[in-house]
Amino acid sequence: MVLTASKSLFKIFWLICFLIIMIIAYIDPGLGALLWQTIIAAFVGLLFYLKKTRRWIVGVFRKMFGRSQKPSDIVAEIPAKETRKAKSDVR
Amino acid sequence: MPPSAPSFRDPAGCCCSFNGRVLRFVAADAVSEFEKFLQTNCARQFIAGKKFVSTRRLNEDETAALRESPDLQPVFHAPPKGAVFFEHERIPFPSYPHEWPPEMLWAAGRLTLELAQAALVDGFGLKDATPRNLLFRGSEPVFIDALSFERRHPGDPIWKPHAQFVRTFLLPLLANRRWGLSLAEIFTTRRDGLEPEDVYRLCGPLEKIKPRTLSLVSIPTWLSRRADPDDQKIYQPHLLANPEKAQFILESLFKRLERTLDSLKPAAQKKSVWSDYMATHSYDDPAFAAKEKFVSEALREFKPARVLDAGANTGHFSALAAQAGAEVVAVDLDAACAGAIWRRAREQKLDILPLVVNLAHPSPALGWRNGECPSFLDRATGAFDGVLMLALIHHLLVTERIPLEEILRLAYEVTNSLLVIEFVEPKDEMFRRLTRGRAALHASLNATVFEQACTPYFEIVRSLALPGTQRRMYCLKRKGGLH
Repeated sequence: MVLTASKSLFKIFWLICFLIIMIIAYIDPGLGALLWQTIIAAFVGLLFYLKKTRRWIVGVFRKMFGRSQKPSDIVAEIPAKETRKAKSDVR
Repeated sequence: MPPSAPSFRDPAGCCCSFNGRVLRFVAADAVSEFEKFLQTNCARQFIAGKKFVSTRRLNEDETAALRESPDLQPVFHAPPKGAVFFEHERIPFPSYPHEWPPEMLWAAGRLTLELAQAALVDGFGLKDATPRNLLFRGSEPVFIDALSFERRHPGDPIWKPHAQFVRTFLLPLLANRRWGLSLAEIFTTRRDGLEPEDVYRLCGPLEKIKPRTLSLVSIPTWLSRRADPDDQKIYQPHLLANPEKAQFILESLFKRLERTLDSLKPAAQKKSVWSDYMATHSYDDPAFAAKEKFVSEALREFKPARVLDAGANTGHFSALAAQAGAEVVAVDLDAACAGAIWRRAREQKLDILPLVVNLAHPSPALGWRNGECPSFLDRATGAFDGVLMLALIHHLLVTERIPLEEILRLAYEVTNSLLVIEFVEPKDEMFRRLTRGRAALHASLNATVFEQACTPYFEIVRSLALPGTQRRMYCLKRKGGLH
C-alpha cells in the first residue's frame, strides 16, 4: 500500500517536472516529422519486447542445457506477465 | 571584435561575447540542473576531449563587478534577479553554418548525436539540435551551447529536437548532395534550415519514393498535410511506464539518425573548377619551390600566431602556416576546396579552420537585427597577425573588378603585422585568361604601380620574382596608425 502510494507520488513528481520542461521547450518540434517519429517509436517499442523475449528464450535454453549465463542475460530475463502487461503501457 | 548580441531564444538563460569574454547568465530556476549536467560523466568526458566548451561559475565578486559594469547593461538587458553568471572558454574564430563546407556540417551533426546519446545515459536530454550550438576549433567541432541540456523524463520516448536536427543537418546535406545547393544558400536565408515541405517541392516523382527521401521528406510532408494543425494533442508527451523501453527507443532513433547522417557524408574526391589547381597550376617546380621558400621564411621571421589564408585553394600554404605554429583560418569561395582542406587538417591534425568565403562578397551579418552572427569582416578585422594572399590578386582585380588600393586597404585592416602577397603581372597566362578581352583595363598595371599602391599601408620587407613566371612575391609589414 505504502509502496503503491510512493510510486504514484514519484510518477506525479516526474509528470510535474516534465510539464515544466514542456513549457520551456522552445524549439519548433515540427508536425509531420514529430508524427513520423511517434509512429516509428511505436514500432521500435514492439521490437524492444521481441528482443527481450528472444533473450529470455535463449536464457531458458541455456539453463536447460546447463550453460552458464552471462550477467546481461540475467538482467534481460523478465517474467512473461510483465511482457504482456507492457504491451499496453503507451498512455 | 564587437560584442555580439546576446542569445535570447532559450528562456533558461542567455549568452554573449563581451570584452573578449564569453559570458552566460542562467536563470535562477535552471542553475541547479545546469550545474548538475556539468558534473555528469558525459559533460566531463567531452570537456576533457575538448569537444564541449569548458565552463566556470563566476564568484560573487566577479558577478558584482559585471553587474555594475555600465558596458554590460546594453548587452545583457538587466539579467533577472537570482540569475547566475558563468564564463565559457573562448573559441578562437567563430564561424557559422553558412560558411562551412558540407563536411563540417556533417562533423557538427556527428558530435551533436554523440552528445545526445552520451547525455541519455546520465539522464539528460538535448533540448535543441541546431548547428548554431557548435563552433569549430581548427577542424574540430566544439559544442558551445552548454545550456542545451535538461533533465529528461525517463519514460519519454520522443526526442523533440528530432525535427530540428532533420531541418538543420540532414536536409541541408541532402539538398547539397542531390541538387548542389550550397550551405550559404540555405543558411543565409533560413536560420532553422529546410522544412521537409521545402525539399519535397524539389523532388521528382521517383526521388520522393527513394527510401532516404521517403523517410526524411515525403512521409513527414504527407503526414503534416493530413494532420490538423490546430490539434494540440499531437504535442502532448507520450510517456511510457517502462523507462528502459523509452531509452531503447531513443537509442534506436539516434543510431538511425547516425546512419542517415553518415549516408549523407560528402564524397572525399569531390571535383570543382579549382580543386585540381595544385596539380594543374602554371608554375614549374623551381618557381613553386621558390614561392614555398619565400612564404616559409616570412612565417619564420614574423611568427604570426593567427594567420588568414585568403584564397587558400587546397590549403598547401595554410598547412605551411599551421606547421609553423599558427592558428590558421583558410578561406576560399569553393566549397570543394574548403572541404579538402578540412579533411587534410583533420587527418594531419593541423590547426586550420577552413571556411567557404568569397573575399569580394564576404558573409554578411545575419539574424535578428543583424546581431546574431557578425559579418565575416567584423570578425576578421584586426584578428590576424599575418595574411597570405597568394595567387588571388588577379581574381579580385579582374573578375571582381576591385581596385588595387581597396584590396591593399582590406589586407591592412585584417592583419596586425604581416602580409605575404603574390603580385601577378597582366602578361601572366592566368591573368590574360581572366580578362576575357578586357586587357586594356589593366594595361598600366605593373610591379612599380603595385609597390606604389602598397606604400601608404605597408613597408616592403623584401620581394622576389618567381623564376620563369610573370609573378612576384612580396613580404610586407603593416604600417601603424593609419585608419
